[in-house]
Formats: sequence, C-alpha cells, structure tokens
Amino acid sequence: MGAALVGVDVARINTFTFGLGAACAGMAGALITPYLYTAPHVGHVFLLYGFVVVVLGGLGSFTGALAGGLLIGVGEALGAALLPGSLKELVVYGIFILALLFRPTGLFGVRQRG
Amino acid sequence: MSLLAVDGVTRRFGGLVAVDRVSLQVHAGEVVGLIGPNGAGKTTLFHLISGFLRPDAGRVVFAGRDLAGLRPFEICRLGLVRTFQIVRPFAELPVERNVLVGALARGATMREAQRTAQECLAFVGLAGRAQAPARDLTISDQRRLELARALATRPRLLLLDEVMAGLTPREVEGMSELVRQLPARGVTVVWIEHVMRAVMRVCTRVIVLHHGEKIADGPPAQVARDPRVVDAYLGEVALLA
Amino acid sequence: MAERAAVVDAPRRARVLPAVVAGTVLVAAVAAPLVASPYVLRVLIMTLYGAYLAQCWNLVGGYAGQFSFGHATFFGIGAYTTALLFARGGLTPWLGMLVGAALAAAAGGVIGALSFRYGLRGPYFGLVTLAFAEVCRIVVTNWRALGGAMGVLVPLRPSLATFQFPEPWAYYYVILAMTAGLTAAAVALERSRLGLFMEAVREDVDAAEALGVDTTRTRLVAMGASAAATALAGTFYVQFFSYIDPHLAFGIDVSVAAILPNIIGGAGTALGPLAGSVLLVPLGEWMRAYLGGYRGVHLMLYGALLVVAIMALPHGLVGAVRRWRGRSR
Repeated sequence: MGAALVGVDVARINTFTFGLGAACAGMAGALITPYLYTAPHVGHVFLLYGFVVVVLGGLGSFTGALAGGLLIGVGEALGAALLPGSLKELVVYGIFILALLFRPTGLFGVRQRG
Repeated sequence: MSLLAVDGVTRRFGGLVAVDRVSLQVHAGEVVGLIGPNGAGKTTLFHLISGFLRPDAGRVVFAGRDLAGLRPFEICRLGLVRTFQIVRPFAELPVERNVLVGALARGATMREAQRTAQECLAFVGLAGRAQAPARDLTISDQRRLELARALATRPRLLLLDEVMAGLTPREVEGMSELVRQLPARGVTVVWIEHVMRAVMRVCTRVIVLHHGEKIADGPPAQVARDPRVVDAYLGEVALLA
Repeated sequence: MAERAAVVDAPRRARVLPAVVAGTVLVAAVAAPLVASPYVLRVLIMTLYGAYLAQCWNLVGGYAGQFSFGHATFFGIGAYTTALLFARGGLTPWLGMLVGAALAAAAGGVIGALSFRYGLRGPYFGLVTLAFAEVCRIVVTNWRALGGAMGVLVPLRPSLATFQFPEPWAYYYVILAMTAGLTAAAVALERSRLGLFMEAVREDVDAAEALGVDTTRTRLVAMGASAAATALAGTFYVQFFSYIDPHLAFGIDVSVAAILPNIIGGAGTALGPLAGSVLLVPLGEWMRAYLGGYRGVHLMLYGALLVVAIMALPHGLVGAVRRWRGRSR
C-alpha cells in the first residue's frame, strides 16, 4: 500500500514480476531437459525445491538464491552419493526444516514484516 | 509498596539503545502519563513491561512479582494488560466476541464472561454495536473497543498506548473522560500519549522519556515547565499548556 | 393484530427454517442408500469423505488460522498405522485407528511445538508442514519393512470386526457418521471458549496473547485435534480401497484435497467444508464422466473453475452468504 501511495502501479509491477519469474522457470525447464525426462509431473519436485532454495537463501535476495541453489544442489548430489534410493531428497528437506527453524530469514535475507 | 517497579531496564537493538537504564514506580490509583518525542522508547518500554520483549538489563516487578521470563499471556493473568499503538481488533469477529476474549482469558465461566463483556462495552459506549464485525467500526470506536477488551481482563494495571491518535477533539474529550474514571474502577493506568491537553488534565503524574532515558518525573505542571522537557520537544511550550 | 403476529413470527421462522432444512438433509442422507444406484452411492461416499477430510483441516486452518500444507502427514500416519497393524499384526482397524489417531496427534504436537516455539507463521508454517509430509513420504518409500514404494495391500476379510464390508452402503453410513460427528463438533467449537481463543489467534496472535490467551497451547490443541481427526480419514481410505502407498498417503494431493473445499466453501465455518465438497466432488466426477474422453479436458476445466471460484468468492461460499446477510464472517 505504501508503494501505491507514492505512485507505483502495483498491479502492473506484480504482473510483470510474476511473468518474469515464470519466464525464468520456463528457461530453467528447457535447460534441464537433456538431464531429465519430459512428462507433465516432473515440475512437481522443483516446485518444492524452489521454495527450499529461496527460503534458505533468504527472501528478497538474489545472492541468497544463488547461494541457496548451490547449497541445495551440492547437498542433494552428496545425498545421492551417500544415501540409498530416493533418500537424497531427505537431505534437502532436512536442510529446509533446519533453515526454517533456526534462520527463517535465510542466509542473506531481507527482514520481512509480519 | 508500589504496584509496578521498573528498575534499571535497558534494551538494545544492534547498536541502538532504545531504552537506557529506565527506572520508575507506579502506585495503585495513579494515572501516570508517559510522554516524549517520537522514538523516545515509550512503546519499547511497554513491550518490555508486558513481556513482548526481554530486557537486556534490569528488572520489572509487578505487585511484588518479578516478571522475568514470563510470557505476555501470563503477565496478563497476573493483572497487567496493555493495548497497542496501532489498533489490533479481531477484525472478523463481532465486537462482543472481541471483548469476550479478554473476559474469558482469566478463567471466568462463559456466563460471567458475557456479563463482564457487556459491562465493559457499556462503559465505553459500544453496547449498541455489540454484533457488528470489528472491521466495520470507525477508528474512534475501534479504540474504544481496544479499551473495552483490555478492561474485560479485569486488570489492576493498564498500559494504554496512544489511545487518542487520530481522534477528533470531541472524541478526545470522550476518551479522556473514560480514562479519568478508571482508577475509581480499581484500574491504575500508565498512558503513552501525544495529545498533551488530555495528558496534562487527566494524569496525576507525568514521566518523560527522551532517547531512551527518563528525563523528568513529577506532577504535570512541574514537568511542563522543566527546561529539559521543553528542550526535548523543541520549545513547544504551548502544547504543554 | 396480524402485524404483531408477523413481527413475533419472524424471529421464530428464522430459527425454525435452518432446523427444518437440516432435518430434511439428514433424513435424505440416511435414506440415500435405499434409493441410490451403486455409482451414485460411491459419489456420495467420496463427497462425504472429501467433506470430512476438509473439516479436519478446517479445525486448525479455518478456525485457528494455521495454514497447514502438510496434512498428508497425519492422513498417512493414520492410514499406514491401520494398514500395517491389521496386515502384519491382525489388529482390528477399529482399534488400529485409535492408535493411528494418537500417533498423528503426537506428530501434530511435535510439528506444532517446533513451529510455534520458533515463531513460524503464515507461509513459513505452511512450508514446514509441507516439508514434513514430504519427509514422511520419502522415508516410507525407502523403508522396506513398511512396504516401501510398493505400499501395503490389506488382506480382504470382510466383516464388521475387520472394518471391511462387501456392500458400499456400510461404508456410506460410517463416513456419514464421521462427517456428521465432526461437523457437530465444529458447531460446538464455535460456541466454546476454546473456539473463541482459536479465532482470536487466527485474527491476531499478539493481541490475543496480550489479552491472556495462551496462544501456543491453543494452537497445539488445534493441531493435535486436527491431526487425530485426519488420521481417521486415512483409516477410512485404507478400509475402503484396501491399499495404501507412500504417494497416496503422504502425497501433496492429499494435502490439497484437505484444503480445497475450505477455500471454495468457506474456511472457519462449520458448513464451509461440506459446501465445498458438495460442489467440488460431484462436479469433478461429472466432468470426468462426460468430458473424460477428450484427453484431460475435464481437468483443465476443473482447474479453470477453481481459479474463477477463488477470485469470485475470496471467503468461500458460506463466507459470501454471511456477508450478504450482513453478519460477520
């Protein structure tokens, strides 16, 4: 509301940002296709991973997203190497839960109100 | 013995000292005004007394009981209740149920609580709007609701935080009258306020905070003339008249 | 004279009408298996099941305002506990479901305690609950002793003692009783002290705390009760389908299914989840039956309708009706 009061067209910015985010996700999907098979539900796991990365890195921080992404990617790969079956995902969710409990603002997060 | 004793309470946020070794006492039956320029640490002090923040140093003793480590709801059940600077009604609930929350929290039965709620609503003049959703109330009525809700907890000490902000002069008169009647109902009041007219007329004592420190503590007329207080408010003596 | 009678009658009519409607619905519900075809009966069972599951979520998500995105955790615990205790240990599901409910309540307590103690609210709380559900799913998938990815097949031995029935009408009455019972509990909750505290916590946690409400305990009780009730839904599912696997038990579909009727019907009201389920389940079923041939068009349409409904009715159907009548929420 503060933004609206100083003349920012909130609806337009929201729409544009959402579209930009969607475009980035689409690009990411296209880039990962050689490594992953293509089916309607493959996106599901990345939905959750996306949340994990962003929360870990800190909402509102690009550096954080990068750092979070690297951390999760390496964590999952290590998990795959050390743990049997699909337990590698546990590493990711484990990091996620710990991050939420102990540092919800993330590694580089900007403090959010409420 | 004092009802509330704040002893050397300090609170820092990073490098900023919001409350700096503040000590004060409040005795039963008083209406103590807490004034000071914006950012003086008044609301922070309320947070520290009511348990929403932990002091970095110092103690808060209420009715002989050290409040260290207690959660806000426990402090409320001991008889110390606070209101908020920006009204926080339970927006989707009807006015009566808002007040009922306060009435029930100290262990009353539903029947007793409903009576208490009705009585508090009548006191602040909201009895006619008991079923209206709280979000539909005007700001003046929402402040009355905030007061009624706090009173329903049957407190011994009430911390009022800027209950007059945004009110017209007529509404200020009405609210002043309500606050004035509180000690007769057994409620001691500590009152953060910027509307000086009301503070000077209703309060028995005024405490002034500036940059987190207490700089004055005494009867309203004396405090109004105190040069340090005048200085803190940048010479706005007229406001304090 | 006639005018006076009309004025006196009006409030009485306002009380009588809902009672008459409720009574009619109840009679119709009880009589349904006598007139309905097996297919319609199945749809009714799924509608009631959806309503029950949504009502479970409503307790903690609608009334207490704690948006859990991981109710599958409790559903799965209930389902797996019942299935395993029966398949491996021969314990009657009537007792197994109590064990499941207790375990789920404990899980709800742990998740709640961790979340509320660390001050997780809103989306963060939702994400933590979701994470726990996923953790459960992965753990069970990789745990051979619990059936692993293949799940658990419940041996078919229909009898009252084994909570398995050859005819659907028995399942119908069970789920009808469960749904009616939980809805009655919700109505009682609305009038109770605990219910008021839960709503206060939903509206403003800090204000509630300042007024003497033990907000942590209130939220934990809501979580525990909701979890226990959800576990019973898991039990019903297993008894009805005789099979459970990690995805069916802990998958995100279950968590979504618990939330959706509340969004459409109105969270925080006793009838909201019922209205939502009555709208969604038969509609989904009808669309699948008539449009299912066209490669998932029915799903696209369903999704589109959901979007429209959420945009048009932000407080759900019951919420919209209440506002239109001038009452709060």
